Amino acid sequence: MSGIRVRALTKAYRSIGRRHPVLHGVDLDVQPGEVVGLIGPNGAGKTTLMSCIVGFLRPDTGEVTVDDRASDDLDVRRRTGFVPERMNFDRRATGRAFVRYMARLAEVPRAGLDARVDALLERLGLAGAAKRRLGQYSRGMLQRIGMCQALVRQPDFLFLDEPTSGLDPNGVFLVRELIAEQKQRGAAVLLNSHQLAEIEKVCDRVLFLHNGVVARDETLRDATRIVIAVTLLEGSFDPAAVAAATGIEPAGNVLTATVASDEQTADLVARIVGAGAGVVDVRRRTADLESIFRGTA
Amino acid sequence: MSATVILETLRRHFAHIAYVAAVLMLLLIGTTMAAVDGPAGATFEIMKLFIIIAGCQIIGPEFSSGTLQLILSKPIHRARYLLSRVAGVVLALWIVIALAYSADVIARGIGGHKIAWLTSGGAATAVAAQAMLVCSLMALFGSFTRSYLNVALYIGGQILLSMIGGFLQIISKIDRGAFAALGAFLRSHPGVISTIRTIDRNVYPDPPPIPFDRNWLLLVVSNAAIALLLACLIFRKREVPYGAD
Repeated sequence: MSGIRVRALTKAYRSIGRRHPVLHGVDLDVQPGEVVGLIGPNGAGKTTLMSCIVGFLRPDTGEVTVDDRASDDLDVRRRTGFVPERMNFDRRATGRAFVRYMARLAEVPRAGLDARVDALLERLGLAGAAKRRLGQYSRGMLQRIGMCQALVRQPDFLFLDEPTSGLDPNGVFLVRELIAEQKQRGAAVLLNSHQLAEIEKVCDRVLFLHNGVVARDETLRDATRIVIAVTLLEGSFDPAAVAAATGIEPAGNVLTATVASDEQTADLVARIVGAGAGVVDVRRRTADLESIFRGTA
Repeated sequence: MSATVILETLRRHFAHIAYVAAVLMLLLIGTTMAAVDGPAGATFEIMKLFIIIAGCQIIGPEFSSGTLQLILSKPIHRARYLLSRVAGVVLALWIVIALAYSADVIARGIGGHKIAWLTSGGAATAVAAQAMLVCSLMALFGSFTRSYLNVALYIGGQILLSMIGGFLQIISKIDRGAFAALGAFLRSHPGVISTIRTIDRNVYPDPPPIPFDRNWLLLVVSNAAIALLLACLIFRKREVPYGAD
């Protein structure tokens, strides 16, 4: 199975006598089993990009393929899950009726459909509210039911637009778990979110969209790459000696390094100690999205 | 067509308080008219407003609320979805027409009045065909507009076509003054006025002169089919940015 592939995508909105370019040649890949976060300031083009990938908007130029097919191909749709930022559906429908309807549209076989719907509602913590009307749901509950309908057919391609907005901490943990499960299954997940901490926790890679282009493509998790932060005991070391021993200049009393294994981490710490520095703490960390975001935006 | 979408559309109508209230009101009016031996088929005249209200909700509001984007992320062809939505709304309207017709017959039977099978049945059939045409036009207008603009186009078009037709008819009779040249042009090209009147008659047909008029029914059904075809062609290509209005 191929993943999601975007090449040289451009898109502009048109109104009477005006053309407002939004995307200026975006390239993007999401492999099966990979979770990619999409972040950027308001107006960067995140929603437009996702709309083009899901097939709601037509790109002006460029190419969007999902598993080597057009994204609005019905076979691709069968394997696609999409969670919008705001769930809008007939408010008189019950939660269960809504998920059941979406499951039928997703062509979930009739045999086992009810069991699947009930299991998902249970998993998302909505079993007790399944018979309540959507109009009585809170924003967080609507987000959860949105997740339910997206997962009803175990999608290979999952598009999430702010899936944790309006969720309480338990809901956030649950969504995190669900995303990890989808990744484990081999699904390609594209997540659009403003919550940098959340992106950092669930994504393997993050794309910074700025002024309609991918300004940075940052790998957060990689089996061959671990970022560690070593906190040194203040006053116990000579920065020049530590830099000479490790090849890395400490920033204040923190030395950040990229290593490939735990053995390399141990070796680095040994060299720091060998340079006469006291080590207070060694932590594995991902990229600092906030500083990257500030730098990009 | 998708049975799932048709059934969901029916469910939405049956669960809507406005639909239930309108049905009860129509039944009440129909029964009362029949009980006092009022003109057969009069209830169906009132139904036209109900048809417009039901028809305008086919696609525009779904587009504006963001529901459509959710639906289109599922494996359903756009044209299939649109046609199923139209079928669901038309079915919901046909159910009301059938109920109104039954109420009329039953009330006349109970009241001991003569049951005008032909007149009443003809009126019911005509309004059922009109429901199909109105819903198809609403789908067509909704395929390139948002929210409830389709109903504005439908009613606006009706007013505009009759106004233009009447206005040109008057001008065609003028043979002096500022409009003399235009009047002469319209007299020498009668096709201009007749084209506008033909469009008017096709899009907004008056009830048939005789019950079960086959030509009239054919005209209405074929116009509905053309409107649906155009609606599907436009809707297939339409962009659907997500997010509510």
